Amino acid sequence: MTTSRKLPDTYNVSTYGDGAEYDYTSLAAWEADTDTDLVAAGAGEVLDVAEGGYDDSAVVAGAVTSSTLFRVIRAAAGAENRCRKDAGARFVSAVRNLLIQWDEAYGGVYDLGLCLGARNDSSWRFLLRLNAAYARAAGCFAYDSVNNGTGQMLGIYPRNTAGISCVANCLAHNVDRGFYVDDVGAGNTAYMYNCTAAGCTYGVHAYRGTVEAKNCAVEGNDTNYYAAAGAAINKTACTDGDGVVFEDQQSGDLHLAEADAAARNQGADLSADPVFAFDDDIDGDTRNPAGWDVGADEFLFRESLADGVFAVDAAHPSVQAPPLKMSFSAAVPSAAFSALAPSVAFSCRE
Amino acid sequence: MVVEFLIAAASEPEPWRKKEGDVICARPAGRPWGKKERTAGLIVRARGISLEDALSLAGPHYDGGVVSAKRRHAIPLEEIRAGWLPGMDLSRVRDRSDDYQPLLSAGVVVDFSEPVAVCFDKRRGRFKYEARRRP
Repeated sequence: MTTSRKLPDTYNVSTYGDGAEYDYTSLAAWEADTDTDLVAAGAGEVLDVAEGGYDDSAVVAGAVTSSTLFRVIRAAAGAENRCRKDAGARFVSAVRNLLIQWDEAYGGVYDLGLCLGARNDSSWRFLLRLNAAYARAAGCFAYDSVNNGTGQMLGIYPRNTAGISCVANCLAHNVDRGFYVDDVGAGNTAYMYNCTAAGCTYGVHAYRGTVEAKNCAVEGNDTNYYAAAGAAINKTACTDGDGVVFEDQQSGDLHLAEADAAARNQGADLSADPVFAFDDDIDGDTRNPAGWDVGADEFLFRESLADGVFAVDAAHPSVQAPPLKMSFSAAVPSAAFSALAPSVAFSCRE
Repeated sequence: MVVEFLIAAASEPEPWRKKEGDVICARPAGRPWGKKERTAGLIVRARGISLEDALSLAGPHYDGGVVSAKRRHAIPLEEIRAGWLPGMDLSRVRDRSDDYQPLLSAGVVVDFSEPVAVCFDKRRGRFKYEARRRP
């Protein structure tokens, strides 16, 4: 698998959470401590955010980085947000004006939930702003952030002026402007790959610059795509209100539903993309090489079963029982299981 | 509202990196601090300031939508020592191997409502009040 959560070649890991057992309880403290010459040190810095909701923010800027040595803020293993509003690692604030701003070249923000709640004033706020070349976000979920006044909430916001920003496998739900692009410098482009926006005022809003959107599911927003004068949104294999069926769009579970036909297997294979190659999805699952889905989620049949011996048949097309996980290396239509009679027994062990 | 600030205990040589006294972060008092935070700086408990104002002291300064200074405000260690805790050992505060939090240990709460010099605005180059607090 080629992950969209790119990491430094070598790195130090610090822990973040709510308790004295963690290295950090403040993003800004980690940021200040790791604002160093990472190239001279020969190691990047990664912050693992534990399960929980945190009222916190940081501007990440100043470290000396390279394409192989940079900083990352990510959900700790097992705390990935996975499009959940009430679980996973997430930054939630009712008083702050930003959550994460990335102002240094390279780096990544992965698998975090981001929410600034409802406001009623004239301020513009943003949840995640990628304000530097080669800053990346993957697996992040911007949600429930609206300004009922004249101000705006900007969800995931590439704004670099000197290079490429890439956002992959990210989602926005119930945000004024789910994905917003501004000030992408002359000749530069913001890349949005396999992202999903639903229930927003604007799904994808390009104010200035060019957005190269591939495999994006943009559905059920007041305006799905909006490019201001002089801006452009180039779409490849994207949906635009095409009737994608999510698990529960109203509540914000933007995983694809089994009933969907508009997004499943309709995407382009980006595993060899020259700008940002990857083949995983919001859940960290490998995308189906026989047909990528559009949006952040690659649909998988899922069923949780206890360890042991059980039947895999039409009623149990796939098996997942943590820590055990069984998947199929190629697409298997559910109808194929109907041919398995009376049933096939798999013995599953850790 | 009682808040806590984490103040940088040492300066980095590069101009855009943290300097001694810089306000790194602010939050409501009472939550535990992390292992590396307790040795990275001085924790200053304060009252007489709202959470929103405390957060703004820890925020960046923007010029035209661009961050021009990651940390605009500082609470100088010398002012804290001279005004609130004369016995504070600055060499221990600066020692990153030393889990030394003298203000918390002594129960000192800095009062932002007092019209004295506490928080230095680096952009403007001045304290809000000029008077020095001396116990």
